[in-house]
Amino acid sequence: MQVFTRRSLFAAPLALALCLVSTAQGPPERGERQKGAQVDVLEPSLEASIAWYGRWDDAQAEAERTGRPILLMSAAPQCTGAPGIW
Amino acid sequence: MVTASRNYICVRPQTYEDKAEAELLLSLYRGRDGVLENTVFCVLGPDGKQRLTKAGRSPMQQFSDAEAFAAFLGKAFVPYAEEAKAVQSLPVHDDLALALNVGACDLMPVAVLAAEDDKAMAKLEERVAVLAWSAEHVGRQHYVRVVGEQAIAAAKAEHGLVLEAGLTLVEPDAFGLTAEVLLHLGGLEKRKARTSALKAASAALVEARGDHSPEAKSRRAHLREARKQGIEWESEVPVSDPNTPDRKSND
Repeated sequence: MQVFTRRSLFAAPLALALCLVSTAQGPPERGERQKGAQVDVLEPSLEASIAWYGRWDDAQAEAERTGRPILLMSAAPQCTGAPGIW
Repeated sequence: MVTASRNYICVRPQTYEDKAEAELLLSLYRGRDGVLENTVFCVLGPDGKQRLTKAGRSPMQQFSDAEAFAAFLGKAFVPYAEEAKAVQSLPVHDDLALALNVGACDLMPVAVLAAEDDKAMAKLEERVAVLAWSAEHVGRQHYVRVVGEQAIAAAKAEHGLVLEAGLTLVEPDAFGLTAEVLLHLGGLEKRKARTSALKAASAALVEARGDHSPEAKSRRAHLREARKQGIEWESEVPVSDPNTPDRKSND
């Protein structure tokens, strides 16, 4: 199952889950494919993604101004201290 | 899912990067251990207080799949649809290091807005916001502001980014530590012929994104390389998720 081909709300929690799984299991040897393991590759997408505000204050102000509800999904831009991956 | 999200103000606070936001997230959801976990999810009313869903770690806890969640978002927006105004403000970060990191996480380019003072930045943001919510650009790049000579100098010293006033589209490296310039658009805030200038800027951005070519990222290889190079991200707030393994203990 390739879970990182779409940028969606479901991606960040899945990424977190994979972060935990991958660090707990340790890196596989080359060519090894663990039974039941998920593919851990994040691929670039040419499709538009969700347009996120990065800060709560900005989002809340715009929500109040526009009368639009808020979709909040926080995520940590690091995996066990390594930046560049959710 | 993406289409359904366009009716909402979508916010992704970066967990552990701001004390006040961390407290807000904790007020929404505490895990079993009563601490801030890596992810928090909730759909809220425009006042930021009324909860339209339960708060939790992920929409996966409440919806069977993305389609079910998108259907909920469509239905939940109905009461607000008639009165809702167009989104106008720029979804912009104010920390370059964090923005490059987030761009690297999303494999997405970052538009760095640089200006000598707040007044010039306000004009630039106003202009760029028009582009940001257009069909050609919405959800295709992140934005960050860099204001003042000192911050512009720090961008060069800390990230190797030579910035001039205006918009610089950059491609972060795999870890979001440095970035490569894809395009620079200067004087956006000064141009009188707004429509034609923005049209030209829009076309240039679309073309420059064609040069954005991040490589697919393997989680395990990425973590292994970070350990090898000694790359570590220090969050503003200590990571408290009880499920996060100690990185050093996994070496």
